[in-house]
Amino acid sequence: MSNSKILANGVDVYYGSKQALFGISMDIKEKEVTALIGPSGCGKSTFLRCINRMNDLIEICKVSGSIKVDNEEIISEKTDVVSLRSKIGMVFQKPNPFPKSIFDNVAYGPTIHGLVDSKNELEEIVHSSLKKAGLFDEVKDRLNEPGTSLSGGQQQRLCIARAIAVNPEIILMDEPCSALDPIATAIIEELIDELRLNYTIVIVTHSMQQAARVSQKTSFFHLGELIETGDTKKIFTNPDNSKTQDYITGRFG
Amino acid sequence: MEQDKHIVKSYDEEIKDINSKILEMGTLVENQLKDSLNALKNQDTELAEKVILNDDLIDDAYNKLDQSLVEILGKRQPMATDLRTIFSAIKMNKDLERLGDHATNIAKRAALTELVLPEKPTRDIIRMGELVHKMIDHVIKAFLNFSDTEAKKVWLMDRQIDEEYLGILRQLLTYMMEDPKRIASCTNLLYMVKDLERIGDYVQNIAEDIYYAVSGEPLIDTNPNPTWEAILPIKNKL
Repeated sequence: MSNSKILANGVDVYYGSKQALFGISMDIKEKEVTALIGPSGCGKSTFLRCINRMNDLIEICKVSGSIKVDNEEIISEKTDVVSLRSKIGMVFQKPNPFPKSIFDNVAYGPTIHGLVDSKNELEEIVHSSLKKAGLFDEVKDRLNEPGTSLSGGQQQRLCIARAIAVNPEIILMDEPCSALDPIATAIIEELIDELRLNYTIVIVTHSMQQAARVSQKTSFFHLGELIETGDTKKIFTNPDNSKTQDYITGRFG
Repeated sequence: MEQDKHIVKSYDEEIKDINSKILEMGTLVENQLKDSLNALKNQDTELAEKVILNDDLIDDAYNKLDQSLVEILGKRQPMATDLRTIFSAIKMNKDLERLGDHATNIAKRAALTELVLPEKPTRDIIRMGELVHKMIDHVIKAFLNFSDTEAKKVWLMDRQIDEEYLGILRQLLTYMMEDPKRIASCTNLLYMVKDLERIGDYVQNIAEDIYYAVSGEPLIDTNPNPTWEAILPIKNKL
């Protein structure tokens, strides 16, 4: 049994007076992929953004309850958000490379976090991150070209390389394949499979099949509540809750 | 089986179509068995031949259902109850087709009219066949009602079939020992009773498939089958 990496307890989120999450409690295990599924507006992305305190950027958003990362409370004014985010990488729905070269996209994080002492060391990190993201061979001869010159799938892998360059322990993915074609999606899924050996991954996806393919645990959200969480195999073959069943079989009205 | 209320209505239609194709398969094999038994009962060669020819209809129905199942898997990528239903349907289709083969075997042997069949075991085989026929009928109903309780009831009926099988087996052995001239006709009956016993097993498999599709759990019976327990010592000596 793996250890808890992220432990949420009674997390409530309000956008102004509107409550978006209702008492979410969840135990996310180390070096596993946890998929968050549910209809649009169910709160899965909101929950994902609580984990790296991204909701801080939304002025009207108020988060309460407890989330512990490695047993350390992160919903607290005392939390060092910068160091927290260096531990937690994030990949978004739409690939969003910086308007910089491929090399600089990946080098940016380690540089601003002061993780490198020399140019050689930086180069080493950039190369190894691109390799881990399965992109190096495709871009090694054009590292100085802009990141935006890559295809959508390559850009997404560049963003993954950028996220892992700062040596995080957790990677959050918010619908990372929704803008990609099936081949680029398959490459990212294969990558997720490899990355989970070293990272804890939480992925929001609208594709049931993707959740079934890439994750070990699945959590189903509906109207801001966590309806059911459990082994992916169980959720997709024989869920306990009828709401989960209706959603994954396409019976949600 | 559960089929309605998908947001995409054509998905409901496709599952409905699969249900009706399974029903068609079920009805075909049910009739095949009924006709085989009647052919045996009345020594009706013509009817036996009809059964043999009709096996092609089952093969056609099998292929059509198989194709629909492949299509729905590729097109809909079913989940949860739908996934279990389709998965079970794939297995049920195969079992129904095999069941049809056994019914045809019975007809082939019933057509061997040059053999004078001993009356008592023939009668018993027909009675056992009627019981197996009832099992098929019930399993189809369990399927239509999407009921795990009904499926389990059918599943348990197989014990009675096993009992009948062993009883007739003993009877035929005695007949053969008493008069070796009866060996040919009794062997013929022996094959038929084995076919019926196998049909019972296939129906039991189908009941397991329905139970799984409905409940999501495998059908496990914790009580060992008393019939087989009783003959284990004999089995070990063979």
